[in-house]
Amino acid sequence: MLSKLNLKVPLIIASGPGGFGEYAKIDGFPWKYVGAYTLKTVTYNKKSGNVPPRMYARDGYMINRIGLENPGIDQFLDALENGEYEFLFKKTNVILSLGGDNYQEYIEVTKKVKPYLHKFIAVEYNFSCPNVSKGGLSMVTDLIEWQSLLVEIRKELPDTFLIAKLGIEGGFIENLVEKAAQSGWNGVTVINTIRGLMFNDDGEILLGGLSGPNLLPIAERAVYEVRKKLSDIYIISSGGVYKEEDAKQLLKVGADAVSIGSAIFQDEQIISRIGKYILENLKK
Amino acid sequence: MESGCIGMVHSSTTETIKKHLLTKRGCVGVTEDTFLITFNEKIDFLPGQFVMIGVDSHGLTRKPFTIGKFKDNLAISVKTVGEGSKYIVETTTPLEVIGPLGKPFIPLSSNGVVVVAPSCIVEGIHLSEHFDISLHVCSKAPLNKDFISAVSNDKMEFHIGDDAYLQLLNKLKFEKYDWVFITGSKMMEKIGIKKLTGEGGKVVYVSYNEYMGCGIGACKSCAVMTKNGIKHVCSDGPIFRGDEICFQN
Repeated sequence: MLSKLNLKVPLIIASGPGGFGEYAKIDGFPWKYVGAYTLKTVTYNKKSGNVPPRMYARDGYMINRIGLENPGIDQFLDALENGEYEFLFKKTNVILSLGGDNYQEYIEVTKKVKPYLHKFIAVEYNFSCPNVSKGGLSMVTDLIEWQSLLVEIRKELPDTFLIAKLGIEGGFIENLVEKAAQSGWNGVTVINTIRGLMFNDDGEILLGGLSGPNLLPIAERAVYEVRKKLSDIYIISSGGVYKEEDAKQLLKVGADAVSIGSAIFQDEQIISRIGKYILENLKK
Repeated sequence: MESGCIGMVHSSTTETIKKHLLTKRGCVGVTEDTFLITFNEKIDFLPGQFVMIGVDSHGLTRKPFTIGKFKDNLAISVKTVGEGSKYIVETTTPLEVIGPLGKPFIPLSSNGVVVVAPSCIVEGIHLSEHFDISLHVCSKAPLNKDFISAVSNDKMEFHIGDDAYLQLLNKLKFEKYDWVFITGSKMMEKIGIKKLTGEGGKVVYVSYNEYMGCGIGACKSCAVMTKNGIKHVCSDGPIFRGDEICFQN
């Protein structure tokens, strides 16, 4: 079983901020430094997402409550068959991100993607979105059932590089990752956004997932603890990466790859700065 | 992105979103906290479209601004509400911009009128000139006298204070316009829609402002509730018919 993702640069666009590849439209997008692009999470059923407002940012943090808005697996696969994502496959490796409202939906969505797995370098499962009332983060509340799901998904996809995207709110993250490893999963993405609350300029309360530079120390600690417990699992570090130094630190504490999320909202050229830095440091 | 097709990338993905570096030509105060900035460079755009402006390390996202023309120069109006907008007003460094973005404004007829807050004055001036129609500038705060004398023309009227705005709406209700374009605060737009649609018999258009992450249809943060479900300001808008929008309490 594969233990590493073979990426030209260990830099991955996180699921969510990059949508379904819309950034490809921007003139001069730095593809040279994108090791893989993770699509927005696709769930079994279409999701319209949460009612607005959905985002607000201040100082070193932002909050989002998108709620996994996506077309659902059937419409997504139709688009895939119609070649709507070919532009992205031509540019870089693509990671598919999947989710569902419950155990059965995770299994069903897995079965549906089987004929298309050759298009993706890996499949990431979202077990940590804090912005949905069903599925996402709630999947890890019953650890016995969750591990049973991990085992069943592995049986369905025996040869796929499987990644569990995990947050810090379902117990000690290193324990969750251990269960993924025991279930034969290849990697983990740590961490996701953390539940937070902000008031926007209109005085409206946003209950959502917190991201931004202030997440970095939390992500670093999570990566550190996971690597301390599990020496072989492939770790994609995610959370608060905005500068070259952030990536350096995450790699130093045990990450195999660095994920860029909300930082692309500031300027997608962050990818080239961090990617260049990672490549130069890997040579040393 | 077409309505009813959530989160999909369409064949338009191949259309390139251009990047620009804009250098300031001028910056004048409209009110104490609102400025009209003109640029030396040009961008091809259509009325109603916007750009996302990078703020370097002064914010976590680029900021959306509707673009217009002022005295034939590319222009934006900026209300300083945080570090990002303050940076845009004060910096002498060229601004990094992507766009134009969003759908252009195509009104139902040429018989309309434009109502704007100072923060949207560039869009107002541009629409007024483009469609050759009247412009009403409605401000809570007094406007800079030098600015008024610089922009005034026979198609422009100024209304200061909440009462003046309500009086204007009552007047417009009985004038023979097919449509009224209103842009400013959410409250201003909401009141305008309430007063002018329905019994008012007017079609109201609003240029919606919602916090944006990407501005290009990827992140889905700029959602707006409409009678036809969730739409996105950056890809379905920024201009919507007022009678389509579901305002929340």
